[in-house]
Amino acid sequence: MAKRIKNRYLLAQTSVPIDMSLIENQKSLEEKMLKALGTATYSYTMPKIIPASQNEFILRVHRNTEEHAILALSFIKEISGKRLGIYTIKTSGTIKSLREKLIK
Amino acid sequence: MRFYDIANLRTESSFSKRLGFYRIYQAGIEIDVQDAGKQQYKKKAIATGSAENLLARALKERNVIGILPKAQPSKRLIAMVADSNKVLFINVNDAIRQEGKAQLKSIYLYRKTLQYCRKSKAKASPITLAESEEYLLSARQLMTMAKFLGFSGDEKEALSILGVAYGEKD
Repeated sequence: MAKRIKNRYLLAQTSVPIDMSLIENQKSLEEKMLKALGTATYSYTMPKIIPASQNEFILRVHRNTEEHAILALSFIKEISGKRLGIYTIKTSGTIKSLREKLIK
Repeated sequence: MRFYDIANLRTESSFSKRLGFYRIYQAGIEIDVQDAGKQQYKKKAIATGSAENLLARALKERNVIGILPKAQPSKRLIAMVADSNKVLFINVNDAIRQEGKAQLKSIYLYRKTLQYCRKSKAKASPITLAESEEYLLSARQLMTMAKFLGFSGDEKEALSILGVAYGEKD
């Protein structure tokens, strides 16, 4: 019987507004994360970007890989040619608790 | 537990708290950061510099705390820091700012420096000294970075040492 994959969600905020619902921005971030993590760790982390607002997005990762994802986000300083900083605000097991932390 | 950072820019209090810090000190304005080569230091100054002898001599002053501007695996310097029984703040900006082989080399040097700190039982704490918002990190990221680079003991304690060392009361 296959085990259910357990995830963790990271709330990330960018220093400049960037629309993470655009496919090109998501692909750029995924490429940067792949470069930072390497193929093996990236495959294990299985990151998925969930847009939240102009300055924020939620990153879903495999449980026990949050630290790898947080480190990768620390090293990324550019998305789609735009220079920015990415800050990890909070990690949680559910999206609901992160949505309460979004900037209103 | 409260976390602190030192940066080269001014941050709003609400923004610092959003990042998880109780306070982000602005170097040069809220904290006196002076070159380790000076003869006299203001009260509660922080001395910075790569020259071992100058930094070690500065640490002997009663109210001076030291900053290492980059990774410097020097057993002699770390031994002097351990003798002074003070916390050494290490700027981890090189690990964030650089790319490619230069970044890998910086990470290696940080790990080596902190390995010496652990062996000598010298206290070390990470700071960012960020020039712009792009190079700031949240408290969670700085804790993870501290663990990755090899700061000894509890990574939360490493971050919270700054405020206590500088005299802020809980």
